[in-house]
Amino acid sequence: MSTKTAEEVVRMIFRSPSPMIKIEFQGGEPLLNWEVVKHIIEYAEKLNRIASKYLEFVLCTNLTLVTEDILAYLRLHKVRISTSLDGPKPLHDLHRIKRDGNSSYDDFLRNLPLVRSVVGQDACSPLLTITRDHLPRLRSVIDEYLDKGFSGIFLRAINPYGIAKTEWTTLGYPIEDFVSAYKDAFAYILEINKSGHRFIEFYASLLLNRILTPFSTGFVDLQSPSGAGISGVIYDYNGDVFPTDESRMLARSGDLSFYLGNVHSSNYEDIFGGMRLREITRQTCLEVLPGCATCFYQLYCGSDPIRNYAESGDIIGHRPSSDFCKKNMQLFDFLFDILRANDKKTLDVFWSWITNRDIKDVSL
Amino acid sequence: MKQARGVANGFSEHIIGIVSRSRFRLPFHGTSVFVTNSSSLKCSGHMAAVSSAEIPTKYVLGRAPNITSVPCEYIEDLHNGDILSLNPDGRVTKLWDLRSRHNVIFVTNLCDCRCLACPQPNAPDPKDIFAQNKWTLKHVPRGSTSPITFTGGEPTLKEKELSTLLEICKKRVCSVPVFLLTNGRRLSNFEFAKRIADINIPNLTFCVSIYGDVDEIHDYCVGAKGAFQETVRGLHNLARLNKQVELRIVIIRNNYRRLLQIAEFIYRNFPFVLHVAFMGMESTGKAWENIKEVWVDPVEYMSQLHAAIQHLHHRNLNTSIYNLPFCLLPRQLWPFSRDSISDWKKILLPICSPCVLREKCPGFFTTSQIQSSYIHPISDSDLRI
Repeated sequence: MSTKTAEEVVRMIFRSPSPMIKIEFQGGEPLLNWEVVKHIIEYAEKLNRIASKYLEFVLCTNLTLVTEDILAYLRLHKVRISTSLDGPKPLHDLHRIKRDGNSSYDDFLRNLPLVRSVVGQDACSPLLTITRDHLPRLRSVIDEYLDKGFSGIFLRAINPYGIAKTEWTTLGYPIEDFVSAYKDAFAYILEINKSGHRFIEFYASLLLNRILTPFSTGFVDLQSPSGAGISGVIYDYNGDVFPTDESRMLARSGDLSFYLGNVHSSNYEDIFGGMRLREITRQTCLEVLPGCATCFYQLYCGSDPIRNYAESGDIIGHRPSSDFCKKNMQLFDFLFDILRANDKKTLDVFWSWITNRDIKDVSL
Repeated sequence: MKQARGVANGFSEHIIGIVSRSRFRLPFHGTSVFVTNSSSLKCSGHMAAVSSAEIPTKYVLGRAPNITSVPCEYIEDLHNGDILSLNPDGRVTKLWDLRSRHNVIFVTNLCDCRCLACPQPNAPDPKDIFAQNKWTLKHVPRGSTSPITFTGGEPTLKEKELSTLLEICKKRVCSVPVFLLTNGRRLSNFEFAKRIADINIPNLTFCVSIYGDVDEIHDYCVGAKGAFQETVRGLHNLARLNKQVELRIVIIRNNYRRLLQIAEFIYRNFPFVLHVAFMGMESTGKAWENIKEVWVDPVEYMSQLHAAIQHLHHRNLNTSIYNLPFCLLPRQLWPFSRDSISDWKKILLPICSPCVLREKCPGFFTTSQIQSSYIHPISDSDLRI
């Protein structure tokens, strides 16, 4: 991304009526274009002196290129770090080899203490990509997260986009396999929590938050109407605007169905008030989607239009063959079974996740 | 407010003044009342005198207005700076207690609800109630840290008076916690709620009472159709105005089965509240008249109360139990118990004398005419279990 595009993007971001703005740097590897990242942060802070919104930054990086100077800068500008950790070394390096053929796990391990000492213990949170190789080994992945002192793990199934789609036969799996591996991992996580060590499974925590509280989660992937384009938006390196990262990937492979415009040539009203985004929003209200309209989990669920499009050719989608639907239905069944059992210790754990308190502070 | 009765001499209008234990009025101390145990009412500069001594009328004639033969304990409990009201019928009332944490301003006796369990039934206001309240607040020492509670009746029925009193409060003792006890009905009018909120006392909490999670129960308990809707709207207006809100649930026979549902209703609809208090009832006034209908022994509702407290505690909402002694609560609920009964109407019972928790116990209302039949002293060995 060039400096000129970056400034256009930031100006576009600040046209948003939202009082809260979170700018997340993704890639590729954003640290390969560090000067522009810095420019965006400083330009956004400058605009915010007048806009006075609640402004946040997140940098998604594999940590291979972080230096003490970069970290000091991130700390100064209160930028949070999102990274990847796919488990213990053999599992992590299995699908994350550096261009030079070396282990990226070693870089991660070397730089993590540096990140923590400069930015803070909780400054960095990792995401896990679960491939076919991970399914039977989730417990060892959880052990790795515990061992490195992380407060929880997000167990999410791999999405069939980009390289993951072309390599589906080696990386992918039937969603039923994911659900049974999830249940086993979840039982393990509950055991850890019940022994007194608070360790969150973030997806369950999101769903429980939706089921048990009056608050919204801000989780864009599970909203009705879909959060695509209205709660989150993607600006590509050249200024192209997409409702989600998946639609940007679709555009890479030649399908421009979700292209909303470009910051250089389109204005705010055309991008965010245009027919394309209106259509996406209009057609992703669960109340009117076939299958969802009569589903008892409607209140807690959301829709994923781009995923639907990728799977069935339109954004409404086909529930009986949707993996998104299958996965969420089974996870809701699973969580409701646990809630129905009404075990006091389990509920203490759940509420400690939801309200962000120690387990001992939650129980009577 | 603590009251006593004596023999009034030499005045026909109600008098209000600051207690002085000295015969000589100090300069700049405002209107003062000499308080003594002595039979000599000789004093200088005071506008009235109160004594525990029995003094034949012929000796007090010609002296400053006075009330004699007030019980000795009552006199012992009056200190320099307390505010006293003297009534020509012989009643002495302590309007402000410098040492107390429970000072109360009764804004009015009028109310727009007819609660089944009301300990303090609706009555016409004495003509000088407003003047008396104003005088009291204006004479609270500037450094006072005692919280101030505005109650009634229903204080919001007297907007002009309430606003004036809150303004005085703001000017004189702006940092102390101020509580406004209300049924919240009037606050359903946003303009009204805004006028009260705009007085902007930094530490003001609206303590709103609610009896149920459905209009049927709430409206029945408060004896006013439509009250539930108004109170709910009032609560949302307070949230919109960014005010601090506490909810108070008095537990009676008519609502105890739904404590858990009430807790969930509060969490879902008023997650902004700072504090939820579940309260044991005070069985006097209307509550005593309706005792057959409203009385439930706390032991009978303990499982419901336990569930409701657990429910709110899980959800990180501050929760307290008011007016119930430790011996009626399961051990897990003790941390939620508060010393909530105003000191001037709190007592312990004879059965409590061997109890090891008597110092910390919320105790009982002196005014209550019926108590739980499960009250018992707690011994050291109970605590070891």
